[in-house]
Amino acid sequence: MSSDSEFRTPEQEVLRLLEECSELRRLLKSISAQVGRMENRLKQAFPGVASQAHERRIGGTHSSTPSITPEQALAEFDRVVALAAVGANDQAERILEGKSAVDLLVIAKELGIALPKSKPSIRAMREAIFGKVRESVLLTRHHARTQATPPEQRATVLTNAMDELTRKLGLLQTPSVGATKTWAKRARELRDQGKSWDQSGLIAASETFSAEFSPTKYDNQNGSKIEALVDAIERQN
Amino acid sequence: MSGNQSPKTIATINFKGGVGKTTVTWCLADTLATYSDASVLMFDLDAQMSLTQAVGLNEDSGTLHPAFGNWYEKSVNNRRTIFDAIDQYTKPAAHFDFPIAYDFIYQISKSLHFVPSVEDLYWLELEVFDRDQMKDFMRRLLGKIGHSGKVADYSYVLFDCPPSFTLLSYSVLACCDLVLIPVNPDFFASRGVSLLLNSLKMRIEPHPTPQIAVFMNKTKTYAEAPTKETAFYMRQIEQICQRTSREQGIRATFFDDAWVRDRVGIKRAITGGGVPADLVKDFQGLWSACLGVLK
Repeated sequence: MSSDSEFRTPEQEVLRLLEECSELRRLLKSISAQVGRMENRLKQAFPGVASQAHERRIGGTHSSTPSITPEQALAEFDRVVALAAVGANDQAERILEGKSAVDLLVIAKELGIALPKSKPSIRAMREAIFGKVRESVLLTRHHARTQATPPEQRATVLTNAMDELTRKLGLLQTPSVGATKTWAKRARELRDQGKSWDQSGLIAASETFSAEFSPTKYDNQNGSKIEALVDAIERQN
Repeated sequence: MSGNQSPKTIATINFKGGVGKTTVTWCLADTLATYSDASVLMFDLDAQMSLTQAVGLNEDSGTLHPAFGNWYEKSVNNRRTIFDAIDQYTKPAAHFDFPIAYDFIYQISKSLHFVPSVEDLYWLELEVFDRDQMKDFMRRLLGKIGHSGKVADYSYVLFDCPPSFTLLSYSVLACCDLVLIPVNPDFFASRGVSLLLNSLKMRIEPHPTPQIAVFMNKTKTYAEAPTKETAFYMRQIEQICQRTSREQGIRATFFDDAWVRDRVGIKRAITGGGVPADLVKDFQGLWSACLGVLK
């Protein structure tokens, strides 16, 4: 650390990063060696499966000419997109899994996918194509709304809050919208003055619904909390 | 405007920034004014004022050209800007008698004229709350320009719209003949088109949705044709246009043949004396495609 600051100087920072890099390199080398040893042991144990895996990885060298034209490749892509768009991802992936390496290469080329190597693996091609499929699906997905909450839904939220308030306070009948909002406003004021939510709700109720409210009927155990009711009513303003 | 005929009006819009709205508006207007007999009026409606600054910018000194600078200052001082026109139009119970002359419209060349932007447009949404009040503003303003007798008869009016849905862009979209949407060969720009097409009708209602045209700008090319990657996005956008036309009941066309190639330093076309020779054909092609859908 530098003498006048608790932060490292750029030179110290570079040295530290270089140390971290060499540590990571050592770690990666050891992992790579371990994976190589495991691979060799597997190949020795299952020689048949290993040769199959090799063929799949290098992209099915048996057929070097594609079975589809560029136009058909795009049509296949559209088919996969259509399936993915309705949520049939498994089916869409199965279509791509059934394609040979050369056909996948034609599809990838037609989609303008830049594959990093001259002989890309089937897996890399499939993943790249499926990336374009996801892109295509995303391009057409919309959730257009004209407003945040439809008025009828807002009305339902308020009605539900009023019903719950009636039950919780033990009122004889559901109060008017105006009285409910007055109660919520007063409860909020009392809460801001330092009262608990239960106290605030009860005092506001005795002031607002004085004729028909009795604190003994207050149900403080079940249903929504006073805070949630005040919040729900306030948000409908 | 051209005899008794109303000019054709085209609004360049996309809510995605950086797709080339300003450059395309300028290049189309400049190509038309330079290579045809049409007279063109161009509006900068973006509070960012990119087109306005580019029109008046002296590349060498980095300052405004004295001619434009002096004219602009006078226009602002005499309250003859687009904001003053809106201010006059929205005054309660006042007749819209905003005077139209060349102190409101700047003459870039004989056949290319320009209504610049002003920074007051930034606060327009706060000053003017009433959407309904604004909806007919541009229609009325164009009517005034057409009947003023003090400015040219314009064949075409081009609008460079802001990258958001403002009251002013609402007013333009409610009266224009063609909405021109430039798009780039990438996911985000393509998504922008999709979003725009899916909500435009809803935003413009109750006015009828104008004809919409989408084209690929900044096209990456190989051997004089779009690259496969660009072609992928062109195909995607064409499908989006077809689908939204069907589902939303709008008329959205994708110009698959009229694309504009990517070119480094194209923005200098505005400040540096015209559309580069290798792009003139692209813009002429784009213009022909626009006329095709306007017919």
